[in-house]
Amino acid sequence: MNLLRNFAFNKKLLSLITTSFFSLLIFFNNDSIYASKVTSKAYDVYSFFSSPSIWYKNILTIKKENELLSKEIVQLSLLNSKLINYEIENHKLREMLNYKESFKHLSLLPANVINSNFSFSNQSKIINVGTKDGITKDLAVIDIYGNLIGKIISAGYNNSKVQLITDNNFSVSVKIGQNISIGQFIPKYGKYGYLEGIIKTLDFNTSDIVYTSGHSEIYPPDIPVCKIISSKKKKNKLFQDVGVEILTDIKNLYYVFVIQ
Amino acid sequence: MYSLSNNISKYIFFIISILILIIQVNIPSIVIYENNKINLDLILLFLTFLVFINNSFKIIFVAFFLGIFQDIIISNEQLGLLSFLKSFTVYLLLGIRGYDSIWSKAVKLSYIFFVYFLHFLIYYLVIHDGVYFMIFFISFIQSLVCFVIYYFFDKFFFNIK
Repeated sequence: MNLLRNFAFNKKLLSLITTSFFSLLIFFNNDSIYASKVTSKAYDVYSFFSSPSIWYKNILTIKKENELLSKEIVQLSLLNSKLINYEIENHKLREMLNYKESFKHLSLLPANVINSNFSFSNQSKIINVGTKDGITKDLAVIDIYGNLIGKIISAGYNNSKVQLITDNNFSVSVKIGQNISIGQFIPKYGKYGYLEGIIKTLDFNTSDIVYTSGHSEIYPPDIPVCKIISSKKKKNKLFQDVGVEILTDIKNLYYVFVIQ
Repeated sequence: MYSLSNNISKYIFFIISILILIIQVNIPSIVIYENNKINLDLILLFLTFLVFINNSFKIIFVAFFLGIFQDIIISNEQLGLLSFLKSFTVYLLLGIRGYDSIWSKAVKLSYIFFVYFLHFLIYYLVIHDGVYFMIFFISFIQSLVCFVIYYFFDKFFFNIK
């Protein structure tokens, strides 16, 4: 009953709704400029009223976008540093390759120094080649510039230990000067050492390079070892005192070659 | 028999409607500024008098059909616009009948003028591309003309209270 009463009461409103519905249906179905004008105005009104929600959504989107971009920046930074490392590594490897090409008569096995960051020892280094790669004890090790680093003192299956040229127990037979005088290189402290057995009559210049003599079974001849930095001739001594500086940079060893 | 009121028979109503439509078609427009014209909206006046003669929802449907005819006469482009506006205007005018004994004559006349103004304002907002001031101005003039005619008809022929 109430429903019928309400219906009777709202007859005018229902009539308006019905006629408006048909009128607007006709108006908007008619593809006229007026209809499109009203539609565009309606869109304008809608966009005006919905502008706060759009603004809010934009802020949320920007916030999310900002978070994503921040993450991306971090990822790109990490990738960038990785690529820089690759570039350095590539450069080093190219240098190694050049060296290897220029010494084809030597059989060189490239290796990585795996404990260079952790070990502060000047006496030995671990490299990532072992008996599986054909490494045996007493093989000479050189750096990427061909300077002598030391020799293998023990070989494991995957890794090997290198006795460095700076180790106090290390010595190598070397040759010096135009007359090729044979001597013995002995490390002293740090990158410095001295030569034993260099006769007084031998003339040489400071900064002359000292090479391995090849008399040893371990080291092939003509591997640069050190350079002369001083010499002293004492009357009461048979040999002169020759101070030398090791050529290789022991603190920055990353890649080496084992001479097989 | 269309019983809008006891005094107006179906035939009289029909004849008056046809007559008003014919006059509406042939009535000249008044140019007020450049291409801006105003018309005498006889259909709106007729519907206003119908509202005061008979307080019935059926007038809304009458307004709808008369509006459709007016749309067809004026332009196919605006088909549906005047039928909607006429129905809406009649609905608003019917609102006066709810306050027959409450509102004074002056309030009722003001309300009628306001409804006319609203009718023409919406119409010209859709039709015109001009500046809003011109649309307001034309709407005002148009509603004023209609209102004045209504006022005189009311005063001399109907005298609705």
